[in-house]
Order: sequence, then C-alpha cells, then structure tokens
Amino acid sequence: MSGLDQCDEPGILLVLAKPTSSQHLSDFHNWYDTEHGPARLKLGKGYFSNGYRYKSRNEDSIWLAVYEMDRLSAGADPAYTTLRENRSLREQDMFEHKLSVVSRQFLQLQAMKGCSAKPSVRICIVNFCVESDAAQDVGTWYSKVSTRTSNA
Amino acid sequence: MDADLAQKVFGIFQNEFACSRSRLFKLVEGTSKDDNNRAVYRGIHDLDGNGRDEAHHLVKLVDNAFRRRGSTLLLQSVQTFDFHRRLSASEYRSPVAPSTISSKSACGHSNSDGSKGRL
Repeated sequence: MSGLDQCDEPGILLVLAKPTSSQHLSDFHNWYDTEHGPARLKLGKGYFSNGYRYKSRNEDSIWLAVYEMDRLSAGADPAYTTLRENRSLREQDMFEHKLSVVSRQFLQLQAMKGCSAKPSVRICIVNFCVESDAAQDVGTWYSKVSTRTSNA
Repeated sequence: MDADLAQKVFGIFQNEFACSRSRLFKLVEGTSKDDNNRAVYRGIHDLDGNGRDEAHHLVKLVDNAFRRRGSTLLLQSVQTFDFHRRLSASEYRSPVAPSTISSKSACGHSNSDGSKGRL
C-alpha cells in the first residue's frame, strides 16, 4: 500500500458515520451540511471537487459521505489535516458524544465505465479484497462465469 | 496481478448491475476490515433507479463461487445507499459552541427522520 502523500492520482474520500442516538440526528445533519462538509469543499481547487451524502438502505442510521478528489495526496496536505486537528467546539462535541465513524478511507480510482452528469439516486458499493497467490486460478474461473452470465 | 484480477471481478458486477457508471477503487489509506495483506477494493456502481435490488441475487451467487475458490478473493459486503444531498461550500456557517446549539433552533425544521432539516 503506497503512502497517501505519494499518490497524485484521482480518487475519493469515503466516510461512513453513525449518530450514537436518533436524538442526535438533526444536530448531525446540521453540523455536516453547514460546517463539516462545506469546510472541506471550501479548500478549493486541488482538494475536494465535490461532496455527496447518502443514506444506507441496509443499516439504520448509517450515513455515507463521498468526496471526489483530483489527487489523493491532498488528503495529506496541511490545509486539510489542519481542519481535523483544529476542530470547533461543536465538532469536538459531535465526535466525542454524538457520532461514531464506522470507516474512513482514501481510495484510488482504478477504472471507470460509463458516465454520470449528476449524482445517482442510488449507489451500490461492492467491497472485496484480493490475494495474488492464486490469481490465475481465479482468473480461469472468472472466464467461465463471465461466459455463462453474458449468455444468460 | 491482484489489480488485474480485481478488474475482472469488477467487470462481473458492472455488467450485471446495468448501471450508468461504475468505478473501481483501491484502498490507499484508511480503516479496513482486512488485515491479511490483501489488496482492498471498492466497486461503486451508480444505479439507474429503483428495482435493482435483484442484483443482490447475483452477488450471492458470485460470493458462493468465491468461497468455493477459497480465500483468494473475498467478497466482504455489498451495501446500497440512497442519495441524500450534495454538499456545497456556499452553505458554510461559522461554527458555534455546542451549548448554543439545539436541534430546534439550529434546524428550524426537520423531517420525520431528521434529514434535510435545514430550511
């Protein structure tokens, strides 16, 4: 895994978060939509070009934020890391009492098919990992599956 | 080698989801459930609308096939999300201390699930 500061390729910052109680949901949205998210977009060109929020259909109260980045290394820039180090009192309160971050990931774009001028009403995220030891074996299996599904 | 394999797997999902856009990402930094030196991938598929939940059926089939191959390729999870809102820099408001925040005064209005609460 290469270091974030070395990666000048495009990608996304993906954050899954969950309010600790339904009572905090309104505060969570207000904080995210008027402080946390906009503060990142305000960094301007070279940082986060767009930011979108989604709600999980699989788990209650799981909220996803996707920030598109022209270069992932911006995630290591002081302009961004300072935001995380110097949180407002409200943001501290959110993280300490009202919110748990399920995961936070910087992901490098590997491939893209199709295009989308506006955010999709629904997205599906497939999470998987790969071991290289038997890659060829699985590749052979894939060819069979691919043939079968394309003929279905 | 692992990247090539991931591209192939990505192709399976992209073809079957019939989505307007599919993107494959590789984890560079962050939290992950996998700590066994595997390369971690996320395929993000923009679905065209409702009625795509049948894709989960295919995912189960693929998952079963993966499991039969052992741990070479591990499907961790499939998650579906509905669009909520686009963030905007112009909506930035100076932070205020938590003691001055109340859900009613801060939002003025909220839906039953608390979403899109700010007028």
